Amino acid sequence: MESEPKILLVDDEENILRSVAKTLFREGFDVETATGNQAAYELFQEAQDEGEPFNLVIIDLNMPDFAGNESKYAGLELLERLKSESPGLPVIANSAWDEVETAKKCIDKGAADYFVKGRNDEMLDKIQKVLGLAG
Amino acid sequence: MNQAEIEANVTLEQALRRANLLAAAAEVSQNVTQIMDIDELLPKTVDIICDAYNFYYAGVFLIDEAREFAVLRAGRGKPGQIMMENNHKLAVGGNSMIGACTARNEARISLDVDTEKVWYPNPVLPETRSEMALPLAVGGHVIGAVTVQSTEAAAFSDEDISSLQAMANQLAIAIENAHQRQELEEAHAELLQAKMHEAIATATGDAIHWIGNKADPIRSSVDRTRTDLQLLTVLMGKLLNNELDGNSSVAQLIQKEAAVIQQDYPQISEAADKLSQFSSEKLERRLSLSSTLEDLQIIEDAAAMILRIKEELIGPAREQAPRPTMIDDVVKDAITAMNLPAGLVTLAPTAPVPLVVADPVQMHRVFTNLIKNAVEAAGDERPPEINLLIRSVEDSAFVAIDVVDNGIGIAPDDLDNIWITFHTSKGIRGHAGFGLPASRLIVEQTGGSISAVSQLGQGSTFTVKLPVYKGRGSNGHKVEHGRGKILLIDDNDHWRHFATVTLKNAGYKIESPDRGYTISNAHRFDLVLVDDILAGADSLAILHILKDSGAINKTLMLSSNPRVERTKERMLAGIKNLIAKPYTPNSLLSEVARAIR
Repeated sequence: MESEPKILLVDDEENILRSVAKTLFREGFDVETATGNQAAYELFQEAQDEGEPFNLVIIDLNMPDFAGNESKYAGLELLERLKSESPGLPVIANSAWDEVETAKKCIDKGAADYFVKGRNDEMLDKIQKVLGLAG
Repeated sequence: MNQAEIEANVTLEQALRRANLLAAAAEVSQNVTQIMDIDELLPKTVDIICDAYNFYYAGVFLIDEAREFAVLRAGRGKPGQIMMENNHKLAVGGNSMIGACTARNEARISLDVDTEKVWYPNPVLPETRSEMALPLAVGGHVIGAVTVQSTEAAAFSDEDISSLQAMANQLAIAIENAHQRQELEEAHAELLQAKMHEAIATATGDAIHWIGNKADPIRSSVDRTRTDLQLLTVLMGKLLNNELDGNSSVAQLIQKEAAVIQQDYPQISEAADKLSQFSSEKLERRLSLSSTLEDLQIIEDAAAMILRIKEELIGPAREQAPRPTMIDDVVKDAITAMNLPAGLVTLAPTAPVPLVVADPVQMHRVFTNLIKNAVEAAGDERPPEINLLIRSVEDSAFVAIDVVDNGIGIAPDDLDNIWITFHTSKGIRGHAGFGLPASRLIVEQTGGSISAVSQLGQGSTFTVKLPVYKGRGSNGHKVEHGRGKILLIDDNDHWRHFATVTLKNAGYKIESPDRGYTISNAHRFDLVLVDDILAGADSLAILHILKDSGAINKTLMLSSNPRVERTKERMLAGIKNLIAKPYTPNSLLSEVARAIR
């Protein structure tokens, strides 16, 4: 039997993490969560090493960077590192900032999609589309 | 008294006067170098001069910014006070002694006014018999003049003149120092204010995001809870109707969950036993799905309110990117984007207005907000009519935009309150909420202002004033030697013309099809510029054609409404970049140069 698609969810706001993880779990995804760049990167590596890599990573931009400092664009660092190590891995970025330049930056750095928090009604559609599960 | 005695007396008098002058010069220099506040320095100086030299009047003039007039800034006694109140000033280079003295940077002396050919008696100084005007100059630059006047003819000796001029020189330096200090203080205050605004904006932004983040999961949780409750109810109904049998997975799930609850929450178990004895009327009162759903709705509404406020407050907290902006286009875009019924909003034909300094995305918010308020202010007596007017004001230092509605108006008492954040303005229909305080913050942050006048039952007028861009105009840009062929697809004639002229002047070759967007040969161009909004064409579809013809990675899109979702879609389609309209020649040229490089 084919296993469920694996999603890594990264956000430093615990309640959002719990809530989104729940939504994804109920939709049948296998979800792991991390609250910062370092923890997320470790989970990513672990999964690669075990030969069961993630199918998708969802990253909040505003969270602790690799040094552990809160930063508005910390998620971009993670996005870049993941894309450089695993170019084929789809990454969806999100942030609370409704800023065109932020969206451009994410797409430029290889994000498969971007959404503004609080308007994530279509998050599931985006995930399905990115994973090629649409329909 | 014999001749010798008279001479001795005169010598003694002279010696005394010289001693007095030295003391006065010392006093003035000591005082003027200590006083840093110009408004304190000048009156004190005229008093010291009059007391020390026994003159009946002294005054200090400073030259105004335009260097047209020497303006009286301090004058001795009652005459000084009267002239100050009358804003006494004399033209630099005019016929007055002060006018000549300030124009030529040299002292003017009149030892007997009665014998002067040109003399303008001053009605408040009728006793003047002799007068001297001394320039105040620093490094040869005249900043003003001192006038001293005496009730005696021939009141000034050569010694007086040189000692007074030495003192005037010191006074000039002191004034200059005070000026510089004042300028520094003002610059410092401005910087402080800018820093404070920045800090407030950052702190507000952080706080708003914190609140938004906390409230964000509420909606999803409520949504799930509601769905699950409804599902459970329907499934139980099916079980009872025997549409599902007792061995179904649904039945097993419900039995399992029920057992867990009964074990973990004995009080629920007891309450359930009691409820099962209730009559159906009593039961419905106590336990109904619709009541539970209503509770969920309350939670959801509260969360939605918090998130809406977050969206409204986030506008001014967002960092501004002020740049030269064609405000008439921003206003037009805002009207179009609102998709209001035809004829509701009218933008009066506008004479060309200069560029203003503003952040177009933020201004889009402001005008959307003002128009939305105007629509909501509509009364029942007459159909709503909203008129917008754009005009240059205050000697073209500002562009004013009026948003005029014929709605119910705002009561005078409420007119100040509309600008206060968190003011409960339920009664102020159409002009309530957070939009106005937020708009005000946005407008003031770029050096503009916003104001309102209103008459109950007649309507309101909101006026936004934005500072005119003082830099070089649209023809002042540096022409770079652009090389390359550009395909321009834009159906807005004004913009197409503007872009074509700008790019041609910079040395590019432009092709811009009139009708029918011929783009199958786009790959032969070095750059493709596509407007995001084309009448009768789907710009995403055009991007797909450009992708197929291999030109997508040399495509720049021009968008007057670059919202996140749009931008993202177009970037994902593979375009090189998206430029916000309205752009300036400089911004267009630099984007084009970067894209072609």
